[in-house]
Amino acid sequence: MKDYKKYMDRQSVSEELHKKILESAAPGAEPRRRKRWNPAWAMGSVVVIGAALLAIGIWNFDSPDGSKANMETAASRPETEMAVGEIVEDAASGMTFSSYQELQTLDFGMLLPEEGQIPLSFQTAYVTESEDGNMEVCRIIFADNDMASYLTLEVNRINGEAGADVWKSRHLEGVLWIHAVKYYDSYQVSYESNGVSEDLLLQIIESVHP
Amino acid sequence: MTETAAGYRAKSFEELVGNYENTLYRTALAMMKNQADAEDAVQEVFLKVLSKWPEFTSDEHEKAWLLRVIINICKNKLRSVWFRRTVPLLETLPAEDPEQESLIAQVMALPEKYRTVIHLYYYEGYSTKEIAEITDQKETTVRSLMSRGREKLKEVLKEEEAEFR
Repeated sequence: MKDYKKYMDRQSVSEELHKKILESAAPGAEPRRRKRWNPAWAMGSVVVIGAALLAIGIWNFDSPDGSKANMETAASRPETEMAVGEIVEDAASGMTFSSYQELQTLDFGMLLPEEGQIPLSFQTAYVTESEDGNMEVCRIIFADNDMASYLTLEVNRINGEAGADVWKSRHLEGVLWIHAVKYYDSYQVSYESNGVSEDLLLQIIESVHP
Repeated sequence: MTETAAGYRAKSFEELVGNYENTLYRTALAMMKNQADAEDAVQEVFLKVLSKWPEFTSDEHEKAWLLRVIINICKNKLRSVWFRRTVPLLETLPAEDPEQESLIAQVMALPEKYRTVIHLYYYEGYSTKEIAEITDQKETTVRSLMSRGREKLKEVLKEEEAEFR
């Protein structure tokens, strides 16, 4: 395959495209970087607010028909599991989706059975809309010093397909389960923290593909 | 620029473009088989970087993320009805010599799933495990694709040798 390598080495983007890409970044407008969580602050918030919410029983995610079906489901599930984002179709546009949910520290804390399992440098998790408006991305990023695990769930709206991407360090054992369930016309996404093996994690992720 | 505990220094947009535009373009070219769509995909990746600005933790993570995004973009393009109807199966690409051209044509004639793993393995130097992570497949699937892809290339090479005899 030396010829293949030599051939590819000669391929490069045109000067025109290079300039176009650089011009796409507005002058002086460096893209914002997501703020890192302060580990101590995050841990404290999780413990205090999470415990308060659990005590008063706030564990409710309305189903699309307005019932409280999910409340019962959540109650019957282990405490490690909960829905963190529901992606809803934007009826006005038909194809784009407007939901956006930043997963707060307290939400994340509720995913974990024991406070000791909270990754110290948990960074961010969010549900957002893709550039082309046809794909929603849910992502949870863990980082623990030199160990890191990145899980991304992508839901392709146009094709009605759900899939998941996994970037996972070689060092970290499985820490998260990810579930995506098509629920009426939307997807309900939930995560469960656990020490699962990579194989099992991949099996679960594969199961979200329709 | 901030530096992580692991010694990773977050790059500026210009640095990311300079470091990865050709890597991404070559991956897209291997998948799309034509310059125009490959360049569109590269541009799309960097637009995503600008809109999302993911928090990378290492150079390895940075590159894997960008590759993953461009692979997804290319897959979406390939499965769109518009692409299937308008792009020829194989677009002639300039090669240095007939032998090289023949090999490139054979690689490009492979189905996309083989081309992608072969490119990541032979050109980017990723292991099958890493390719599995980047392409969201089981490692056994990647190994199988590699094996079958190599076998298909061998068959074509053998057939061509036989024709010249």
